[in-house]
Amino acid sequence: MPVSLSKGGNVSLSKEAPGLKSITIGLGWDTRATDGAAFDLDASCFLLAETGKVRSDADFIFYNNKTDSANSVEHQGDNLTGQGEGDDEQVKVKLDTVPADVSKLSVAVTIHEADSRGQNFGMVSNAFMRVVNGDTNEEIARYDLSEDASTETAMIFGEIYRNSGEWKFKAIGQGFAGGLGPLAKNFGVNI
Amino acid sequence: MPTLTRGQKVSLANSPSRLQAASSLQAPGLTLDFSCFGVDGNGKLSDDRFFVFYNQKEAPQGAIRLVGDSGFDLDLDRLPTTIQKLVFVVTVDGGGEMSQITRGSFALRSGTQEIARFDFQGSDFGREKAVMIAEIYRRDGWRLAAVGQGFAGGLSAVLKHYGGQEVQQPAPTPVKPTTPPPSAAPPSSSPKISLDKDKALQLKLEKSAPQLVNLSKTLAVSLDKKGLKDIVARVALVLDASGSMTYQYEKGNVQGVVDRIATLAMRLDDDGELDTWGFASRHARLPSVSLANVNGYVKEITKKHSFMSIIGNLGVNNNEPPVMREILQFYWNSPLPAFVVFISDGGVGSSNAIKEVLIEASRYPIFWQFVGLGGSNYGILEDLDTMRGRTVDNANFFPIDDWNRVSDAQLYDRLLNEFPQWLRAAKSAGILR
Repeated sequence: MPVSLSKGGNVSLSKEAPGLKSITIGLGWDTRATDGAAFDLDASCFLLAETGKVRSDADFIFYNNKTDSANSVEHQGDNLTGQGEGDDEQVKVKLDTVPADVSKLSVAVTIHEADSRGQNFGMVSNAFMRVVNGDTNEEIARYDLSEDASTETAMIFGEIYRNSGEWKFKAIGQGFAGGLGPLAKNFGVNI
Repeated sequence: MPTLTRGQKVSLANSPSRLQAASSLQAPGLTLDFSCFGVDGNGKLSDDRFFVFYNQKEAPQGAIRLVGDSGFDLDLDRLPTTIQKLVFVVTVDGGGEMSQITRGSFALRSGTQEIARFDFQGSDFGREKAVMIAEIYRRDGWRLAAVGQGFAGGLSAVLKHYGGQEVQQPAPTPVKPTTPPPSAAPPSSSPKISLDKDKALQLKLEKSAPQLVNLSKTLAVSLDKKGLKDIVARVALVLDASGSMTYQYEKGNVQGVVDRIATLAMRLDDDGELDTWGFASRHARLPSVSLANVNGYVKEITKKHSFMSIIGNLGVNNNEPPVMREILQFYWNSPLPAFVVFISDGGVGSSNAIKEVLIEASRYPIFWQFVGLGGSNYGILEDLDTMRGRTVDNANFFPIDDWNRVSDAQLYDRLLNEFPQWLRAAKSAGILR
């Protein structure tokens, strides 16, 4: 029975799935049913040191930089429309190969060309982030963002972080104005 | 009084349950329909009675009432718990798209106090014809969301989106406004929602002018035949009040004309009113014909010593050009096409002056449909098809020798005969959008 998190809540992945080696982070949202400009949502993942910043620009994992130098985090590619059942985008993480000086993975979703298309997260429905056991494909925990979304164009969905030798998942649901560029800058990426 | 941006949500926890939702659009050449979908927890219209629009103006218990064309009175406390969300939909009428609007707004008010508003503009949209502009939904009390997303397929597409079933054929019986039962009755599963404008007019007439119901049915057939079902236009009537017309007034033939053209105006006109003029030696703007005064209209305007008296005040001769000039002045900058029905019983003399007006008017969105009524000597009106010098052919003429021998179907077919061609020509000439 997967754990369901609400905003701010957290769960120990290591406790829920003892011996956990790898996870798949699944992100999803409903494609619009209406006829206006399409939504293109992009998932990204920031490998963060204790300082809350990336160690280098290579720790910014997104559609143009799909894996880190240690090959521990791998972006599964961009889904341009959000169509199809289940996860719209996935990030795979080999937990045991995540470099020791990375203490946190921050997982965000941004809306591509949000300003020119006049779009924001308030218009995206049924967004979620879930963590699946990469070896057994069993869902460990899930966070449904539902109403938390507002008019920001970037959203930190959740965090995977180390805590006393365990890996934990925290539901964040924090909007961020400005989109992917400013978000990356905020995490110390030079762009 | 927050101004919302698209996607934004606010709590209505501190607002009263009785609210007014209003919408406005500035859109040259387009008109607006406003409707409200009360949907269930699955976002579906499981109970048709909570789709409130021009053909069904009130939901059970008076929880949602359409007021005028662009406002709703809401009483959220009267909604059954099965209704989880009210979706407000703006539809552009008259063949337009949302991208053509200049600006628009949705406002939620309590009396004179504005609780929230959402402003939008054409550039927010593309080819959408119907937009879900805002939602009021239950989540820890009621909340309001600015949505601003829609469908190119218009109101039918929205209805489909919410799982409603539209009547495909014109139904033999009209949708009856339901009287609110004490408790929510089980919803009907048969398709019964008609979005048809012909149906809407019929319902209106049944209430206020039942003598025009059959006319409206005949008109619907003609409009369909001529491809004019989705046209919105200004409709005008010019009545010959010269002395020789006296017989036509006394026999009730002019009232017959008024009934038929007023029905046309109620169906096509943006405000449902027929702009009317009378002319003889002089001319005058007459009271507009609407549902409220169509019954007995001619009797009223010809009443002796009435301030509206025309027969006595306008002289006895035919003098078409001045009234035509006034109509040109009235409609030249109309964003909608103007369809002018001009009644004459002949004796048309001022050929050159009439020609001059028609040539000048051909650059503007005005179509002149001259109708000869029981007369002769129609002069230049009989040569309209070959008149040179005009940007587009903007006028047509046909005579009716005996009013009592022309059927309503024939009349509407002939009235609307050249209007569609002119609409196309005026569009390609850039006279109309």
